[in-house]
Amino acid sequence: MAQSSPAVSGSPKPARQRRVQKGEPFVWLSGGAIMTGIVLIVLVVGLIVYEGSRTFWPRDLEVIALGESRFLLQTSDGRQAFLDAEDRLLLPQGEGYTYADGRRYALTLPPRKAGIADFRRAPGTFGGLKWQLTGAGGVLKNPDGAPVTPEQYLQDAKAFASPYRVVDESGGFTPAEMLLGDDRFRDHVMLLGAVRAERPLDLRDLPRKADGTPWQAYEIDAEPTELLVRQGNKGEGLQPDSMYFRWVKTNVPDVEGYRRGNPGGYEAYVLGRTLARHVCEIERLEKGVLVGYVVEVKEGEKTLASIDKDGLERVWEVFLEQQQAMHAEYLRRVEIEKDDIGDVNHEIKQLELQVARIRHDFRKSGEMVTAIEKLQEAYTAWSRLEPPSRPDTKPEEYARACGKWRDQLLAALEAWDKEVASYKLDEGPRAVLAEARKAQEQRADLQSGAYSRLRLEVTRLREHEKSVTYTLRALNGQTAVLPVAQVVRAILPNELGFFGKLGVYLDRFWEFLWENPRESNTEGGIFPVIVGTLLMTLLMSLAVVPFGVIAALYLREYARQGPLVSAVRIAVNNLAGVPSIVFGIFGLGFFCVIMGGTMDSLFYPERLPSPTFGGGGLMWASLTLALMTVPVVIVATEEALIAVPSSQREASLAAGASRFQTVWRVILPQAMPGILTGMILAMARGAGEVAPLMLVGVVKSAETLPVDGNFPFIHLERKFMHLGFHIYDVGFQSPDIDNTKPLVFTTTLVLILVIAALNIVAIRMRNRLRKRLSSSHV
Amino acid sequence: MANMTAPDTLADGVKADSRGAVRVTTQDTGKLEKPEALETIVRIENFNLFYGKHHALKNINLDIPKNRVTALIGPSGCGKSTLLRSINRMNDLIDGISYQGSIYLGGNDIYAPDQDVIALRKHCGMVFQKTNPFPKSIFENVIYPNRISGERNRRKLAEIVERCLKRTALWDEVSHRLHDNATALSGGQQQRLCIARGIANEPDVLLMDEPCSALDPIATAKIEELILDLRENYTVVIVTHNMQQAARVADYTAFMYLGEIVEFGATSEMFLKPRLKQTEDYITGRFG
Repeated sequence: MAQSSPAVSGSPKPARQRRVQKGEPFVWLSGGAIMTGIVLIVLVVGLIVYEGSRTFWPRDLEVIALGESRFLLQTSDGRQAFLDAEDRLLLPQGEGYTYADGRRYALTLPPRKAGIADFRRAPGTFGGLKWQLTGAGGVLKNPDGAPVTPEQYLQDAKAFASPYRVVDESGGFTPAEMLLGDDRFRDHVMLLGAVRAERPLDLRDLPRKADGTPWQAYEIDAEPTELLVRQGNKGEGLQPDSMYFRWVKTNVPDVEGYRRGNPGGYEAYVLGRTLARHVCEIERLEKGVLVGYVVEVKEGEKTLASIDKDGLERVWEVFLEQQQAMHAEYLRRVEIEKDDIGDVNHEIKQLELQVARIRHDFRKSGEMVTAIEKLQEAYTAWSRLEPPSRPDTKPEEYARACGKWRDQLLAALEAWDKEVASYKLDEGPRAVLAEARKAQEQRADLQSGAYSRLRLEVTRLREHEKSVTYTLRALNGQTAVLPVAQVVRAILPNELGFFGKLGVYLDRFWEFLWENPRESNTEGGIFPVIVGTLLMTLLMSLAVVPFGVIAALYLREYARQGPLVSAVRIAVNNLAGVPSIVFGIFGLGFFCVIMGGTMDSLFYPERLPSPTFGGGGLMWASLTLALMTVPVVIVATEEALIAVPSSQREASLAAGASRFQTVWRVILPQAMPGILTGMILAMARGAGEVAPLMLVGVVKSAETLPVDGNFPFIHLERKFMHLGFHIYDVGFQSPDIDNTKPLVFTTTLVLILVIAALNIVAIRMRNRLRKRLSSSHV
Repeated sequence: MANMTAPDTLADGVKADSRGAVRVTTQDTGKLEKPEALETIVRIENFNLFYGKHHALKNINLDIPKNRVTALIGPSGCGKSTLLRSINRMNDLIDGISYQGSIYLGGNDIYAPDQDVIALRKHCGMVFQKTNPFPKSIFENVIYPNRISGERNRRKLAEIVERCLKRTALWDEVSHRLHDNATALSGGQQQRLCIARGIANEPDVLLMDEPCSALDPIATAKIEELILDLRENYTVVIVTHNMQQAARVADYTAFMYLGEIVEFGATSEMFLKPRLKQTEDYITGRFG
């Protein structure tokens, strides 16, 4: 049977077959793939931007009343009252519980403790017995010492108002239950804080309905949610430190039903919440935020403003004024400590190293070593004689004391001179000894001069910072007196409008970008982290581009193409697939230990055994990442070189150019956009890498930046901080996860922005080059 | 612009082995009409070239006269381009070539072991089939050979640019935009620019490898005109597929076939009465 050709016979092919031949399914497939990719990118970036950018938005402070009773019911002989699932009274008897009629409680599920709220709800349940109330402060008593009965408590709302006080319209403090609008809230525990996070509750985790079946989504209106409330007030005895953050549950259907059925599981349910007025949130240098009311500002013993005399607004005004002045003073003190004392310390360290270096140079000569060691001993003994400095010491007096102290060194050095005079030493070594002696003298000058003066100043400033204090009153009425200088920022979030909040938000973001971290990275900014990341990435690019380009040029332009070159090329490509931690191990073993160790013993022997380049540092981290990313650059450069038409090479060579001239003047300029693409890819990979960095120089917290004003300005041997590691550290190694989790997103956002910024710079460079080369080679 | 008669004709059959005279390699004896003694600039002696085992050029003997245009014609793959590229040793770039024999450029054996290839190429300008200006300015394109020779004097460079562009009849078209990118020029302009680049170094010979094959007829006509003008100052060796072009521009023509020179002689002679049947067949289009 001869098959008739469809083209000739003209019979229409099935639509499916035609589509396949046109390649339509593949178009759909590739289109779908690209869409999936775009959607994923948008989702990831969107999530990070959303989460990362709202961290610093000021949240309103709310008063939240929980299910937890403030008082439990006890019989007068101290027995706790219990209730079963039908709200019937139980009293403990021996091992178990008994009802009023003497029946035993038969369930294994323990009954729940009865509180004052239960009494208010159904006083009849508790009839016939004498009750007293016991709370956090023990048994509640009348002024005459007799225990308060529940009836008394319920009758006299004024006398037994809750201790939770908020500011009312008139500016005075009133019980918080008034604000919540129901007297019954005084039976309950209340919180004051900002909701920092929320997450939906799974319906299956909710208390069941009265008939024992779980709630269904259609049966409830508002979505049950768990809220993270930041109450703050850590470390000042205002409330237990563990209550800094508290998870509470809201929108739970039928709380009452749940209360009846479950012992002890009812405390964290929100019964009521409302915004509080004029409550402030104070960010401090240490120990997190405070939430409450500033009631007094004092300088020494003198009251500058107090809420009773001057009113709310005035106290707040004075507080802010003082805060600005005192915090500026604090910043100045820190600057002196960091910059001025840092510089003097640097010089002192250099002089010390000079002596150590001399000792090392003459380590073969016993007499020299002895002489230097004696000199060092004399200095150490002298430095112990430092006159004590107290905040009240007068600078002139102290300077005089230091002058005397300085003279004591001269005496010690003269004694040393005499001793050394007896050593058998040549002219040369003696001159060196004189040098060492001079270095010690200079060191003593600095130590007794600039250093002592600055330290005294710092001591005085520190003392002065303590002089201005404020009194903070927490919701529960407890107060604490604290130094104003420690306050970084104080706001009244509930009084701020949108633009006020925006201002605070931008201010916080600014601080985040430009300040040093505090509180083991949980507070403050990430400036050194950004600097470390940028420096490391730039140094890496500086190292990787020339290396990768030269390698690619050799492979493509010079080497004879053959099996050996192919093997090298395959090896290079495979190098890109090696897990990054392997490079970290290599960097640690080769760069830090072998090269760094060798450099230390050659150039910095006097500093040993403390390593200089022998440990992780900026240089080794950059080189390790350069090594890791070099295949990317090599591959990209090779591609770029292939893309330069061979006619260009011929034109150049035929004009009498050498191979190098051809590469330098014709090929490299044309390949430059491709090379920059390689650099961009390498940067993107390098900047986001974390694992190898942990081994070769990234630390959780670096004391000094790798760049400063001391020669040689960029300190390649220093350890540094890095955004990638910072994210891991803040998010997962922090002592205070609830506080830092939002920072993870913000830091991630910054990391993305930093990489994007680096890429944009590189891409702009590339595009300018492209324009200059004007791609058409027709 | 058809210029069917080459201005200088040379009698065939003259065996002038001495330097300074053109050898004619065919055996045919014809009438000697206007004997002319021409200086030889490139002298190819018993030259053989192998790509690996492939014998690409077979015992080539050819003298190329100075200040004349010599065309190499022949079917594809006959070795015209290879021979042309042997003159400035561009073939060295190809892996696995080997050669025997010698080529003299102005008396120097360019295949001598101590020959500096880069210096040699500075004496030969070259123009390729595909226009290949660098993606730089027109100015920089022209003076590229001078730049790599280390010329820095700006006035001198400007003079070179003007001279070369005038010689290639490009000056009027581009003098106002010397610092524009050369890739923006039209195809014909680009090729003339490449020729300008080829003569910027005042080379001894200008090698042209099918310079018009990618151009339209008008651009081709311009280039051909240019080649005739260049003859005043330069020796031109041109490889072409186009017989009419060879007839129009070349003073001498060599017909190559399968790696051998079949016939070499004055263009007018060759096209009017080729000595060999093979040549006649090719010229008249009966094969190839």
